[in-house]
Amino acid sequence: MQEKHGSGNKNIQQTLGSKVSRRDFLKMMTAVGAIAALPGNGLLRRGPGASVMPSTGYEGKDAYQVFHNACPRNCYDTCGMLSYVKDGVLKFVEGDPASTFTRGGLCVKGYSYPRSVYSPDRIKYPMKQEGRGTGNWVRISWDEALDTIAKKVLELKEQDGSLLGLGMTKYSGNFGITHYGVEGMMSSLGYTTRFVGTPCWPAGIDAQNFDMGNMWCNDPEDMVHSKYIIIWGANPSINSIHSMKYINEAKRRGAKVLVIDPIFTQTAAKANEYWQIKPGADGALALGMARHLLDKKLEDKAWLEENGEGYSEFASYLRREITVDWAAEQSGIPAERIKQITEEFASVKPATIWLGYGLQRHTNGGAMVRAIDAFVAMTGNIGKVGGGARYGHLFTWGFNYNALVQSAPEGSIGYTGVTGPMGEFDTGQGGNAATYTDRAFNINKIAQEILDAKEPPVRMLYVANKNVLSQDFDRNKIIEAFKKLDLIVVADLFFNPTVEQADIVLPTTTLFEDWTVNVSYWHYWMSINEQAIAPMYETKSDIEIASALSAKINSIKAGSCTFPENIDPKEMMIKEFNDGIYSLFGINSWEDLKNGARKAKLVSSASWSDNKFGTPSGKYEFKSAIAEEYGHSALVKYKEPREAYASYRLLTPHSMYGLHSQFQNLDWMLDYNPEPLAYIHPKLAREKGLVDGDTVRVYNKTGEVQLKVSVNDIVPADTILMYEAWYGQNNPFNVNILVDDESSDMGKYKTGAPGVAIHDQFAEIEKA
Amino acid sequence: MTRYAFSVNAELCIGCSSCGMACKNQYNLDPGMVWRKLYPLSEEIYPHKDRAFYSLACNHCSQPACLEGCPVGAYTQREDGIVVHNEDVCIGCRNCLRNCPFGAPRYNEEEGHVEKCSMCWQRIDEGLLPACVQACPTNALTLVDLDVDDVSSTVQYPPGFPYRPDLEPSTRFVLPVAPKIVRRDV
Amino acid sequence: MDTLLELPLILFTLLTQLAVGLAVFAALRQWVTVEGPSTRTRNEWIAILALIGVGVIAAFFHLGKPLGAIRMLANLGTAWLSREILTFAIFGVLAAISLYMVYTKAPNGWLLKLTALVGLLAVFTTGMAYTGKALDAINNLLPLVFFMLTVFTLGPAVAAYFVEEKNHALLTSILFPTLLASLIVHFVVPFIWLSGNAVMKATGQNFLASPLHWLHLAALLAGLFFVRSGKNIPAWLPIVLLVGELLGRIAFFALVVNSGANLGGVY
Repeated sequence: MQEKHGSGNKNIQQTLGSKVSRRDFLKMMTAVGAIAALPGNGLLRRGPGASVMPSTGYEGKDAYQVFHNACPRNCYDTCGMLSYVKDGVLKFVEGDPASTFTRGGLCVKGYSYPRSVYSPDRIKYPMKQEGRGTGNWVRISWDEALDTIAKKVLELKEQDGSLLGLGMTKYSGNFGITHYGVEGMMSSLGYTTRFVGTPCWPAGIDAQNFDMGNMWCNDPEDMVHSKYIIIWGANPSINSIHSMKYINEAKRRGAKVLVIDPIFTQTAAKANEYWQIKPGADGALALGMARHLLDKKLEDKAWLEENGEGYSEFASYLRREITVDWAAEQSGIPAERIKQITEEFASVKPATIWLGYGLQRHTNGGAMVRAIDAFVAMTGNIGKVGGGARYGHLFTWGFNYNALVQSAPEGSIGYTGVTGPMGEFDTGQGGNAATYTDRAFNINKIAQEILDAKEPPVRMLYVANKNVLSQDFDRNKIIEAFKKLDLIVVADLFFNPTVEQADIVLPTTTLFEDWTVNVSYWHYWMSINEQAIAPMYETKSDIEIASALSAKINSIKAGSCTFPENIDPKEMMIKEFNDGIYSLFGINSWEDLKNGARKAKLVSSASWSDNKFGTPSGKYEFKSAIAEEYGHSALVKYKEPREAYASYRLLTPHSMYGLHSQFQNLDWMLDYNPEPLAYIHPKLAREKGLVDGDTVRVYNKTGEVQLKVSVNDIVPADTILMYEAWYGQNNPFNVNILVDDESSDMGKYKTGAPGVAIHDQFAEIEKA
Repeated sequence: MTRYAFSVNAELCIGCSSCGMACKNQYNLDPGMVWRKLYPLSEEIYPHKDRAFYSLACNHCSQPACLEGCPVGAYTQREDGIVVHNEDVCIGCRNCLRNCPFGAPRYNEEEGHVEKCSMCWQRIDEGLLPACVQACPTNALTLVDLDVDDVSSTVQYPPGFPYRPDLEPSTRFVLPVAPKIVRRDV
Repeated sequence: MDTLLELPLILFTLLTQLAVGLAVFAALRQWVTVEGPSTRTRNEWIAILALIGVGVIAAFFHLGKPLGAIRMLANLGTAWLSREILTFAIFGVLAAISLYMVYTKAPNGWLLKLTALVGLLAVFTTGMAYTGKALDAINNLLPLVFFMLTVFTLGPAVAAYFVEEKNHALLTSILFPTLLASLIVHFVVPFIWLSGNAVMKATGQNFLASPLHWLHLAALLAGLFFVRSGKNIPAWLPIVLLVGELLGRIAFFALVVNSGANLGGVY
């Protein structure tokens, strides 16, 4: 059956050759979707008489089947969820009360899930686009889709003698453990090109690894014990709302909360004090504070004596090259405040600093994290309950990665050369000249890598759990690079900008239609994700796709793929569990999770409580030889920030209404956040003759966007603030049109590639 | 006696809108229909835009204007103070929209009736919290019993909220506080 | 907030108020002319019934569920809307009887006066029903005042079509002072709103900035200019006044600010 789907007003008209309005078209598609989707669309409310009072409200606990799910998004809070299903339809969701962290509530995004599952815009069946970017989508069968993909893979093997021409980019669209089956699918085909690294947090990971030998934060629930909390370049009021209750409780018990951020964020509004720091000067500020500790003799000498490798050299450096006044000048924070807060922080125990990910999205991000870590270490707060330099952890991620670990078919040829880890979740050692490995490219520079790749070039790209055209950098370059690809296959839920550039789109399941298990990189809970409703339309989860592709390609040419051909997704989930996980969580079986989320049994809520660090010296390293190996200063030192390349700093942090390009496209979310805005200070507004609601052009060397302006003093007068999000098919707004792919300093050591200096961007602004 | 009310603590509120979306989720509201949302306080009240909010839905007044003016009796007031709207009885005349100074009732043009928050009375009757209250990550939005709980540190008519002692809205408020701010510029 | 153009209610209020106005003058004519009760008001009563009919049908279009309208009598205890429905129902019945009596050439003066009085009562209930506790600017007697002014503006003006020119004196003797009062009231009230709370003030600003409001006043002014007590009412004038009242009524429904729109702001 041929059906058409347009991906924009222009394309709809081209496709249908008539003046069908978008509203009519969507209604038509909704009707088609309704037929294809029953009973799913039984959820949409109907007219008078069909409703009970009030329509579809809570019908009593016996009315529903309740399932446990876990939000698989890239979020600190990774909520345990309860799904209430009636007659095979998901009626509503709630947070899992079994988790003290989730405490029964989700967030504005989580609560919009039912609308996402049953959205008429959801991709329902495999489709191919006749002419990339034209919107001429034609429905095809799974058989045809897999056949096309399989044949192309075999063709690449013929052509190049290896599968290095097949590239795969994936990141955090779904962190359910079984979704590593995408990597597994690639491995099971042979040695391929992987876009490795992470745009998110690599500089900080490396920094914490240089300092302590691992990224390992305290249990966030122990913040209630903190007497002093500095939230530095993090915004939990948007990005970790469940953490706020611990901060509030600490405050209630008398703790002081300081927020350091370029923007007066919602978190800053809840603090006792807020510092509007100059972006990129956080390292300078931390070093200045460290210097002041020395001046006032407030450092924890005993702890540093025992545990501080290279500390005396660091102290000498501070005395020689850092002053509080210098730090004040760099950061814009008055010296008097720096001194007072430093003294306050050092005079109570425990005290803690929460280092955010926005903090390290700079060319000097890793160096800045090292400096802040050092300050915490000097106050003797590492390894203390309620203390610590908190960033993140992977402590609870010790699954089998059964879906991930697949062997290449016999006779596969791969990349020979030194490689690093294939991402932050790769605990392997990488490769060397003696073995074949995948070819690793920097995920953050996908456009440049594709443009430069040769022997062989990247000819085919598989994209899953990532929205390249929304989230990757230098959009125009990406479009250029994609022209080099023969075949682009995207597995996704919605017709997002990446799908718009695909040749084939494969419809995927939502978390409610999938079996998997989830943990967090912040808290210490684990949740099962049960399949609450049957997969809708013709959707398949990532491992089902892998399995189906394996069967297809082996039927064309036997021995082409080792991925198991007839998988049971539930079995695949069960295979992820091992004794390590069971004993860490104190459960006998994965089935225990059906009663609710479970928390890891920790020796202490504090990481590093035994002071046995994972560094070569076993101590906290103010001076790290490994750092030097990777081209950084061994000693914690000041590193210059990036120079401005335009008049105003451009900050593009996370919106609360979306998780990257998910959720904001839903009509329910548009009810709460209808459009993107550029926030500017009244002074800048006056300079440019702008008032609230004016349309502006924001532009720089990388690109241009147009949007409405909001005049607000939450931003500094030299800054333009825009929240990153995808507003759906008819809105081309994308902050990454303006963001270049300049790397952050660190990230290669532990994640295989450096990060991106997302917040070291600059732009001009004019009335449109 | 029981007299349920929402307590809105704008100091604890982080503006996350979990409350609003939890309501949409519980009732599968049509797009465009919003029963609960955050109202940012104007700069005259809290000195920074978009940084302090009242989460408001229906205030379940003691003297509900919606109920008094409804020609078909679509509103009833329970013993515990909850003002319930019955969508089936409602004929969509929208007189209640003219009468509620708090904008609680919303007209659903497609369905031809008005809708509003009825305090999740079905959940309350089962001993559960209203969906919005359960959703709040910071206890900013809570359910109180005005006859039992200590609400002495709350106010009934904060700035930014209509002063209507003729209606006696039940909602209670705690006002937000601004932090010490260190700016590096103007 | 709702931004629906309330055309059904605009038509309902205007047409029923015109109907009541005609009824008042039909009754008055029976009362003051030396002829006594006559059949010459037959056309007026047809018009009155037609106007009531069209107005009520228009009102149906306002409802989300028009078929439920019969239940609107359920809350006579507290709801002015219920009382309005009831009173208009009675007025409609009386108007039908009046027409019947006029048709059968046996019009009863008292009945016609009663009909007119019930009509005025109906306008009173409308005036109370169209206040609104969320509409600070008109949560008072203003709607009643506005509606009565409409009755006594459109009533005599349109009645002119049914009356020979030589008998316009009765009509102009009421129309002229009404137009004067109406002009003064409609001109002054938005300024008074400016000194009220934020919601009233916004309403006042809306009116003063709106062409609807000023064109309404212009129509009233034109009426004043071209109507003199004792002289006749030019044939085009009722049309101008009708348009003016329509614009003023659109303003009444579209420009009054709802208190709910200011949540979070200073009241």
